[in-house]
Amino acid sequence: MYAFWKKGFIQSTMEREPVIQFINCTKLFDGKTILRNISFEVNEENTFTTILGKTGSGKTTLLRLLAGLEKLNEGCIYINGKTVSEGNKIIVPPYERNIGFIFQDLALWPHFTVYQNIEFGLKQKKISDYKSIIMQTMNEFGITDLKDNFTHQLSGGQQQLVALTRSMVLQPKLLLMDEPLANLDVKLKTQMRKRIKQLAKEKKISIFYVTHDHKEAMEMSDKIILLHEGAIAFYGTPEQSIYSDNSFLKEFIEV
Amino acid sequence: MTKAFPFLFITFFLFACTNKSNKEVVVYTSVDQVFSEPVLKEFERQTGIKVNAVFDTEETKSTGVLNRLIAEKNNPQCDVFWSGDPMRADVLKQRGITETYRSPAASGINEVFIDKDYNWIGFSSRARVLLINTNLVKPQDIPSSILDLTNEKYKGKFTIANPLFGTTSFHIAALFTALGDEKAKQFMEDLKRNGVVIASSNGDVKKKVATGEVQMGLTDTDDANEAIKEGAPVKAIFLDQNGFGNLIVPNTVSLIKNSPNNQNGKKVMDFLLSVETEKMLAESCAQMPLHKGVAVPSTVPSLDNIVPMKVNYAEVAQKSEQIKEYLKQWARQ
Amino acid sequence: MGKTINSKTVLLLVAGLFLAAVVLPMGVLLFHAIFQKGSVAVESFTSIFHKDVLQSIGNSLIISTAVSMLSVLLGCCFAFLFSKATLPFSKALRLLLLLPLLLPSYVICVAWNDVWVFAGVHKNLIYSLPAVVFILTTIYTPLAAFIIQAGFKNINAGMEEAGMMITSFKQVFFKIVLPLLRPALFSSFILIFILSLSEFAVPSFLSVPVFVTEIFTQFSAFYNYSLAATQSLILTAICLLLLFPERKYLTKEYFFPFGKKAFRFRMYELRNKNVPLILAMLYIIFTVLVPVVFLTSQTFSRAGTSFLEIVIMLLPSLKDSVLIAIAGALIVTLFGLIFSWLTVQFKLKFLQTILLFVFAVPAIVTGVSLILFYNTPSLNFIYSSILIILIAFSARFLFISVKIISDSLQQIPVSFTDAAYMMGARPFYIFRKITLPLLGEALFTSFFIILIFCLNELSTVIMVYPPGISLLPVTIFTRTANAPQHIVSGMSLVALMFTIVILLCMLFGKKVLFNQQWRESR
Repeated sequence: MYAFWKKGFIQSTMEREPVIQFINCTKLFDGKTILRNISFEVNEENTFTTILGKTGSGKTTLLRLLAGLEKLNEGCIYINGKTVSEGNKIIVPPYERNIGFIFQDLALWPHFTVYQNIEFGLKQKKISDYKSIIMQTMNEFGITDLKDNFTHQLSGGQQQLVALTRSMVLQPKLLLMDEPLANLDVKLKTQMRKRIKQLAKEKKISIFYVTHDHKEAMEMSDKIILLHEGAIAFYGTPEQSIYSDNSFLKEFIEV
Repeated sequence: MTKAFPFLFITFFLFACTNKSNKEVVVYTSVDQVFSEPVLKEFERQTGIKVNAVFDTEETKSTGVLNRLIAEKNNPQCDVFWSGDPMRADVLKQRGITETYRSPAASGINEVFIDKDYNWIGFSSRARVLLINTNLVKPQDIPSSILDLTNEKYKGKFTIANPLFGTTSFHIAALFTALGDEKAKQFMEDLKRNGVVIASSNGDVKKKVATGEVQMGLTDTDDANEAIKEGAPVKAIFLDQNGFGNLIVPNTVSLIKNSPNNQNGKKVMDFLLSVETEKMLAESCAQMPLHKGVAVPSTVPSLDNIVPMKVNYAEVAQKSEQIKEYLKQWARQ
Repeated sequence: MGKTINSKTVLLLVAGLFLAAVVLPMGVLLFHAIFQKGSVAVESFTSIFHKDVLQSIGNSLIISTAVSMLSVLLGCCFAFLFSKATLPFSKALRLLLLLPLLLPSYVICVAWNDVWVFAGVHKNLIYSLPAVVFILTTIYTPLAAFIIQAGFKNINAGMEEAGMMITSFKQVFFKIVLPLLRPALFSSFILIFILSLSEFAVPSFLSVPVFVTEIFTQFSAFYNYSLAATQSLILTAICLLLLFPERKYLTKEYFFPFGKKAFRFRMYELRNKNVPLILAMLYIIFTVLVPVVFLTSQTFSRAGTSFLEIVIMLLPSLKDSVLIAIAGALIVTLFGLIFSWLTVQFKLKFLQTILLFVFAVPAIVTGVSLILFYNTPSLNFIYSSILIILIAFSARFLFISVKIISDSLQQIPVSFTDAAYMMGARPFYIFRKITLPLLGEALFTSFFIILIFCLNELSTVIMVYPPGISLLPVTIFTRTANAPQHIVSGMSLVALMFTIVILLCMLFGKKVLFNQQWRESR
């Protein structure tokens, strides 16, 4: 039945070829269902999608599935019409998906300097003259002066920029961000939001942005996904969310 | 660091696998390294056969070499076992680990010191002695018989090593053979009632007496000799010179069955049983030669001057196996 | 997560082979011990219900519990003073504290006995359980201090400072720092518990019957392998019970956010430096310096063999010992790393259980099982070479290494490796560039501690060392009997000085080799 269904789907992709598509995705951890039968698609490039939800609703897992860091239990994930994960198999490994990932803790390697942190990914890609790319990107983000510092010597905002630079030098088509601004103060948060939004426009990249901050979602997104206990409770634009009478959405905004 | 590992492995492999030739022999010994090593070195010098030795010490109750020999039974690594007493050699015999070798060098040795099947042959002897601290014991209070130790006036003032092990174990077994089980058990119970201090080893007995922790203790001549050399205020007494005699404990040497360098092993045995070895051991640790007419330093007692306990050594060795369970209970106080 | 099949299989194969080399011998021995002639040897098990055996088990448990609690407590104090407080002379004190760990336990025990007899302490006090506890505590306190110190170093200043804003230092220490230290406290407790449970020399010298001396007697007086092996199975069962509390309290994913925001290290300014300094010095004088000074005075009390002659006498064994101990420490740490990685990455907790089991088997049983297993014509290349010593070291100490390294490995956030993986780095490259440097401190600690243990290991090595090789502890031990006191003490001193030189070289080498700049505080 599943195979039959899939066949139908492939025919339909011929027409539209969405950027990202989740079909009936289910993910279990130790027998516990984290995501239950999730399906959605993002149809246009350069879309800013926010994933909203309470702690434990499966936001991070959704990102990690998209990145290819976790296997599915059931279902399919497509990126630009290509199957990247199917059933419990990773078809396209994370590093070939052209995805940047900003982790919640930023995952800046403490034993590397800022420059070494940024250089790491480029070294893997075997690009010959990557120095100029690094210098240029560091310039764009205004962190050139920090290049020889260790990351613990930086302020929270600076660390944020380093993490962004580290991802952006690899010129991803899709950037996944897991509550990246959680540790910043309000003023810095506003600044960074603008910066990210601007970045998405300039570089023409799609962003998946996990947060539990409803305001942040309203301000930045093109699309909002609300997760509730592993299922999608709402999917639409911010405008739609205002006029929606979705009970989960209402509850979430009130909290 | 990662690159160094294969290199290290190879080096150690080579290191480990070299030196294999037929000009070598493997000797396990429970005799203290200080005394045994020079003898083996002399053998090396004279014959050009390299001796690979595994040393152990009576302080560990010789658990190392003996358990090793037993565990190695099916694939022997050792050619010759040089033991400090017949008991251990007999344990090996009973387990079929040693074989017969009638060494020509044994011809001058009294056959009470030789296993009837020639699975072990005795040589240079130690004696069990009562070591007394001369600062603490008046001459008239020195006991003359081992049985005197049950006397009230020595209560809590004397020590013996744990009788489960080593020459002490052999000594008690000899008493059981000489006195009969019933009398011997009574004696042991009396010892306990008289507050005997149990030391961890004969070396420990020596130390306890030398430092004055106790007044006297039963130990071996080599330990006594060492205490005297160190200048401790001690004196070694031979007991029961008017009675059943003082126990003599010979070294023994055995050939291991199916050993890798069997022929060289026989050469080591011949060397150990020679007059020359007995002379060396007499000089280094005051051991009494079993061959007649070996020149020895004046400090070494001679078998001609002391009354030995007349026991069948193989019988004693077997007895010591039988009474172990009893001694284990006894030692727990 | 995605690892290339090849390297993973190879790694698993190597690890499996190694584990088999270390574990199989004991498995075979125990199997034969339990199933004699086709049926279970019940009487071996019921033997423990004998009054004497029960009493010795009781003694063992009392000693181990007391020693491990005291050592962890004292070790925690020292670790705090050394790593988090600005205590003057802390480097020198740290080294002095370590001394008892650098000597074989029987040397220390003999030295203490001499000290006590000299001081006129009553016999009943010397040959007693508290004396055993005292000596073992002085030996294992530095081990606890060492492990807990590493725990302190991984606590991010932010956590403490967050607490300091709200409440007093005392509250912060007990409510924040100590709970964060839990893994280190548990690890050192378990290690010391097992080490003192399987300690032979000290209780045997002081005539305190414990379970291990009971097992030893089965070997050395009765040559009863089966009973000894079964009894050691019971001993290991006791040790395994220990893992339950650890499992219960430490199962939750539990790591210090290593580089979450900024890794900083917080030092505390002591209000009054003199009191802790004096207390620490008093402890060191009374538990460390007294026996060492006594050894020294015994060495030089008598003319005769000079100190230099002793050095020359021990020189050949010094060389062999160092080479073999370094090889041992390298191999144990390497496999410690591999097994830690396997346990953490694939959640293979049972691996640690197996290693704990091997670790808890008394040294002498390990020795016999190695002989019985490896002494066959086909495995002779191992048995007659130093490989057998390296296997013995692994069996004895691999657990310690795994414990130290896996504690640290768990503290590295998954995101660190995931981030590198997203960028296309191969697993092995990630391991080399990210995981390994972050584990540097733990690897060094493991190597350092294992080296000390290897240099001092006697009980197993004396059973399996190939003929013709001389090792320092074996040489000292076999020469101890019947050698004059000043030579015995002299040999111990030489061994001690020698170990100190090696350790100083290592500490110096660490400064040169490891760039720890990133750990320094802002």
